[in-house]
Amino acid sequence: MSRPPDITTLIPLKPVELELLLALAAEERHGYALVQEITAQTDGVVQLEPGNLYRVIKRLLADGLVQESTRRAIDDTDERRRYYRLTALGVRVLNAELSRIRSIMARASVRAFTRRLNPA
Amino acid sequence: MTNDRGVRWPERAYAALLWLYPAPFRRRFATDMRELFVDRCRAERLRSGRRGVARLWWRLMADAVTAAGHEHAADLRERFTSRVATLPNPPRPATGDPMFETMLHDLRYTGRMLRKSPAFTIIAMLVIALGSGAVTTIFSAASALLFRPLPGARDPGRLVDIARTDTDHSRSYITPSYPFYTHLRDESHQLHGVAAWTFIQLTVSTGAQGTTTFGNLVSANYFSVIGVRPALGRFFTPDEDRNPGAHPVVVLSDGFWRGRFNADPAIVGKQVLVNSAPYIVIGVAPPKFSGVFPIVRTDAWVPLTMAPLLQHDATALTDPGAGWLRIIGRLADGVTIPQARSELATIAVAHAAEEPADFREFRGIAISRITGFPADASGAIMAFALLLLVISGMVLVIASVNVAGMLLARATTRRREMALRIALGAGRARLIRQMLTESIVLFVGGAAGGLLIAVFATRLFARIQLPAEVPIRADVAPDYRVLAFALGLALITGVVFGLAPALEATRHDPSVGLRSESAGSGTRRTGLRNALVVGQLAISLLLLMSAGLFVRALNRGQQIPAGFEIAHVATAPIDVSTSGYLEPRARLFFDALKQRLLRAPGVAAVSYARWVPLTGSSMGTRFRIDGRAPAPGDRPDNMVDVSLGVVAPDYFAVMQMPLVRGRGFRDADNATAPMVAVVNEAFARKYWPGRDPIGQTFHDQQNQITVVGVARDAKYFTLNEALQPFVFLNLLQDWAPSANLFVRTTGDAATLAPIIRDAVRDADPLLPSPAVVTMAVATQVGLLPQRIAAAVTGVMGVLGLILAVVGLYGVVSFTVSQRTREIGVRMALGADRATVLRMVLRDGMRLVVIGIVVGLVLAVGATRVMSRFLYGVSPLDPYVFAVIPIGLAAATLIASYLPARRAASTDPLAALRE
Repeated sequence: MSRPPDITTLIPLKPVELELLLALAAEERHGYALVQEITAQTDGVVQLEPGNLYRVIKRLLADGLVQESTRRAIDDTDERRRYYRLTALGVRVLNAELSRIRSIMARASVRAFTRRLNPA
Repeated sequence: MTNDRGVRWPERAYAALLWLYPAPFRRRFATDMRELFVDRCRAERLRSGRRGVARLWWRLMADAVTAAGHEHAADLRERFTSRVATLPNPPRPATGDPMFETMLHDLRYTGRMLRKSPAFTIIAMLVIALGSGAVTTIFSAASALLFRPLPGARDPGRLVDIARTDTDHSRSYITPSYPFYTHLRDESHQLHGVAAWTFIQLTVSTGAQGTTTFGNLVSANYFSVIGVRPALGRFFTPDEDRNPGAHPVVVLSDGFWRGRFNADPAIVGKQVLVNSAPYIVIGVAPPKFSGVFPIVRTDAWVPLTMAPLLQHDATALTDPGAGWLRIIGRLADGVTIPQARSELATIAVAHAAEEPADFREFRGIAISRITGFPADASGAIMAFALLLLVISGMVLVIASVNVAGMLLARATTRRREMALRIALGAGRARLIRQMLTESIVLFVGGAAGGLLIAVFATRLFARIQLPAEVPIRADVAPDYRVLAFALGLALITGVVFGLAPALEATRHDPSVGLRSESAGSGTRRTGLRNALVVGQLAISLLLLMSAGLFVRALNRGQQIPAGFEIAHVATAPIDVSTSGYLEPRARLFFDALKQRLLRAPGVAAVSYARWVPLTGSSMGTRFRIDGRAPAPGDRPDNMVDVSLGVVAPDYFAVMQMPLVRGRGFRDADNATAPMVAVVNEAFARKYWPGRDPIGQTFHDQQNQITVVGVARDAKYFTLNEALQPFVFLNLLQDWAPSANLFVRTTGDAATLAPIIRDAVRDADPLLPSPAVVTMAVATQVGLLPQRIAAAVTGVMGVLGLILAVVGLYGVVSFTVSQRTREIGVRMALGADRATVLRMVLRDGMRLVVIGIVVGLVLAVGATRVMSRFLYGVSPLDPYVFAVIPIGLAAATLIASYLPARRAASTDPLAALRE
């Protein structure tokens, strides 16, 4: 890619996309590991089925946020599984999204705080 | 591959589900998705057992429908926008064409609606899957047999079957001779190649006991005319059409090469024994290709020029009077069938002088597109397939009507939603479109299930072994054509059966709808639902009556007196010509085998014949009857067409066919003795009325034949044939080295199989082991169409009945729930349970009676079509017309009794309080 793409067109991320990028931020994973991780992290609220999982992966691949990995986990002998990892762009987008959310959270908590101090 | 056996089956089902996705998506992710599915499946089973897996499937279906829908939409949008957009790949798909947006929205909304009521969705899809599965299965079989004529051939649409007929179009065919074939091949310009072939049974061995194989003798251009390329080695060269007997080469079929030679990659150039003579394997045909009649398994191909050796007939390639070939040709570019026909007819006439006198009138040429069946049989097969297709179509109609009924009921409950949307400004067209999207998604989902049913059902077909003389290979699995058919059918039925409910749901004036209340609801809707139920009942009655008629025909067929007794008889084809026997040795062998069998325990009589009675195979010839004045309308040469059977001595004893006059054949009536014949009573009556037939004579081309006996009239070729004059000739005087052995035992005919096989092996250990069947089994082939039809209509009829009964149950319970208040009032005013029960039952049974009347009227019109398959059972058979409607009424009584009982147990207080 000759020109770094504008990150602002890629955020805000959809909730599933965010979950997926978060799950990939720790380590590269294959499909089932992604599903397990996301289910665990969200206490079973987000349960991705194959069709929609790969639909999201396809979109993230197209946007260049993730890519297929050539590496394999050492204990995994199943050669056919494809692993995915974050790209540099993906890391940047994830960080941008997280700081966007953080700033919202900060504003929200400030407001809640002030509301509590000055009951209308 | 996963080794977890419990997962393999679901994995395949899931793989089938993946076909919903667009091809590029599938190519990229299908493997991973299957992998993921297997892991999920295992985890769910461990965690929550079967219920977990069922839940998972439900989620997967929803997932597949939504994700595949989105992907298809994205796919379309991409294709659409890439054509108009100047920006390459915008990071996010821009809001594209409004039509796609609407469609997407409709689909999304549909997904939500269907997920909201999973029970409705699953039941509707299952019902459609049953109906669509029935049609798709039959279509798959019909399409494979009729529209996929020559698997493996190049441009099969230009291949034609060429036959010789008589010029007065009475549709009698003769098989062409080799000289006739060479004239067509050398002189035709309208055909881009003419090839000849015929069936031949061969014994192929590599040293040990031989294998009986089903081969073709073919002209050298056979493969190139059909347009098949070898999978290994080469096919025949033009040189192998010359020099009779000089080319002992053989091409093997893929199946035979794998089964018999373990797919030996170095097979080309190896030597095998074909009928005890050394042949060189030159090539292997591609897996799909199985000759011109693909339903018959073909194991090997040998050049026609080897026929004189293989058939022990030195004149096979030179005698213009010996017809034994089948001819196919490829139309040249731009040539039509009529053009080719007139050219070939001219060629036939030009060479008529070379042929024997009785060929003269066969100057007609019949050309038809290759169908995968003999030209004279394909019409009947097509009609039969069409009949089955119509029958299965009715089940689909019943199923669709059921779903339409369900949608209609739901339309009532969604009136408020629709009214609200109209009030908010949605146009009616927009709402109808939304409703149609829902019904189409339901029908497409159901069709996917139907396709799965078809895949499994056709696999069952392939396993069925028919007791036929030739090996049948039925590869009728669904292909892309069937897929397109199922999808198209789903779209059409989705629109047709979704339209009425859609109109119904959106018909309301918003101000009325919003005011709610369940009363009223209009008689029109009830009327429509009642009509649907009546239609279902009528069609399922029609199906059940067809099934009843076919069962009656089967019974009738099995009870038709054949005129002889087959209960204790077994038969086996014996062909020693393929093992290198010449005539004197073959005669000795047949006699030795007979004597050996007569010494076996329980064997009462042994004989041979050149056909197996009642299996549909037939034989006929022409005789000139001596001492008979030509009747008006006879042929000028005073020859008559007569059906013929060639049998050995003791045949009448084996079959227990009584001789009413004279004697049967004896061993003394041999090749050197004067020719004798046994005729049946009908023959004697017709040609020598009022005279003693014994001692009368008739002539074939060369010989005078004297009648020595008269056999009682019987059935000969099929059970439903009309009584016909019939002549038996003596096998010893009309010799052939291949015949069918018949053995009568005093015990069970099934016990004869090992006895016959042992006797053949003892007589010559090198002969292939013969396939022994009891006559009871062999003659079943004759009733095969009735058997298939009875099974298919029976299954479809029961399916239709279940669906119709469920539909009736739905309607009656619906009316009961609508009338709860009314029933409460009646009961409060003193109506007792019995009165209420009767009232509701009467309502349900009124529909049933109308349905039965309509069904009977339909049946009177429709069953006439089937009469050719009914063996003389009347299409208006009183038994069927009485029993089936009563049975249907009984079944429907239960369907209305259940809601009626519920109505009768209404608590008036509770009902009034509602």
